[in-house]
Amino acid sequence: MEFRFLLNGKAVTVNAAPEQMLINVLRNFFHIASVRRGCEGGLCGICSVLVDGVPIQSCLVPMFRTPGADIITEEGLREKGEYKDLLAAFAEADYHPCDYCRPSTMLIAYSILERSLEPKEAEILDAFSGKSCSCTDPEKIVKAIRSAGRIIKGHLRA
Amino acid sequence: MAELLAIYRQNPNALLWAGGTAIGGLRKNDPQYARPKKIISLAMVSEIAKVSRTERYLEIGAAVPYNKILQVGQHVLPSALSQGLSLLRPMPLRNLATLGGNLAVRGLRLNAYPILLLLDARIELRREGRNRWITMQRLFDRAGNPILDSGELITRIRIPFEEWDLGYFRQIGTPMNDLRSSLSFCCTGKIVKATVSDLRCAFGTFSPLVIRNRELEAFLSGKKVPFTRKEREEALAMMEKTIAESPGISSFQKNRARELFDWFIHVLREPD
Repeated sequence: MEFRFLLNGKAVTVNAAPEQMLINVLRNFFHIASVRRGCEGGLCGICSVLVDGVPIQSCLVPMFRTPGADIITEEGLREKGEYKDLLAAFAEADYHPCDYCRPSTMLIAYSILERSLEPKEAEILDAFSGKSCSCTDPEKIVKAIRSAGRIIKGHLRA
Repeated sequence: MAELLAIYRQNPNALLWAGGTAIGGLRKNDPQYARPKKIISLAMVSEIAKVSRTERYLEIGAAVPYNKILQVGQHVLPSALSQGLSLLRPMPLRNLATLGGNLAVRGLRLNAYPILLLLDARIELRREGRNRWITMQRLFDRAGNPILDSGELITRIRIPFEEWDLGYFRQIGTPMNDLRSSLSFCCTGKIVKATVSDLRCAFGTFSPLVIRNRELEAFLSGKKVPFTRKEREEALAMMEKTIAESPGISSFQKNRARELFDWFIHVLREPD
């Protein structure tokens, strides 16, 4: 069956079984390796992508839910100016997510800042709680995202 | 909606797919979820994807994602329900998970059921040509399966507005990983001038069993908070008896239920 949606800003068409999960199509058909395989049951969060602006585990999205959707992976996020601001803020906060969870972390961070450039600590911690990561402590994530918000705000004012 | 009901009537054995979060957890071990023969997606049906309110009720569509419920209902959701929904982690799950899906899983009572039970919620069931509203108690049979007629599905959840002064929700464990070590505790109540006027507590064990003792609730009503030592001991003894007599729950769940209730009756105070 044919499915059409936006992937990183481009209209794409793919033939897949309706119950096939998005993660498999992104990795196997579009060769997007930034979408990591984790638990494949929705519990780890490592396969998260943005679907219509909200982070969702791609292992839980069947293809029949994709028509008309706007899907963004880390590759698409790299095209946006905010990506560099996030990287700069992460470095400034000494927050270095490993290669394994960096893509989903960046996408979730971006979605938080899309809602507000001054997110509350509780909101940031909630967004990342339950997401498997043993690389760093939550304080650095909060500091990094808030810092990114300030950087982006500065650009908007300029 | 009409189209959905007609399709479901023609395909009563199709798998209804709302958010798919429970399906995602179950499909590894259960072939009916891994390779369903037919799927009906509920995501695009607008009538069950909205939150609305009247003067007396909050109505939540069965296919509304948790984060949307939390966002739209942030000033009106009962605290116990808000806490229960927020506890679903990781956060991206809440952009998919729905109350309808939470209630409709066969053989499991996930965490929404005990909360909605305490809140006197009612459920709308619809099939082609008919709709009916039932209480939460009438939603499940003894085996824990939703009692739905052929072609019938959960469409709305109606929660009456009440001025609850307190609401708690705690969960231990992840039911999708291990039922026998998972437990939820929820409570909602009214406290006026340091006196309990309406207190409702329940434990969810994720099996068909929900533990609730109405005699205990009546015992605590009319008492002042904080409870005296004698009142706490008596309440704990009543709850321990109920827990001990509840079939099919593990000793871990029993111990944790006892500890949670003991903690609760120790900390209960009049809210600021």
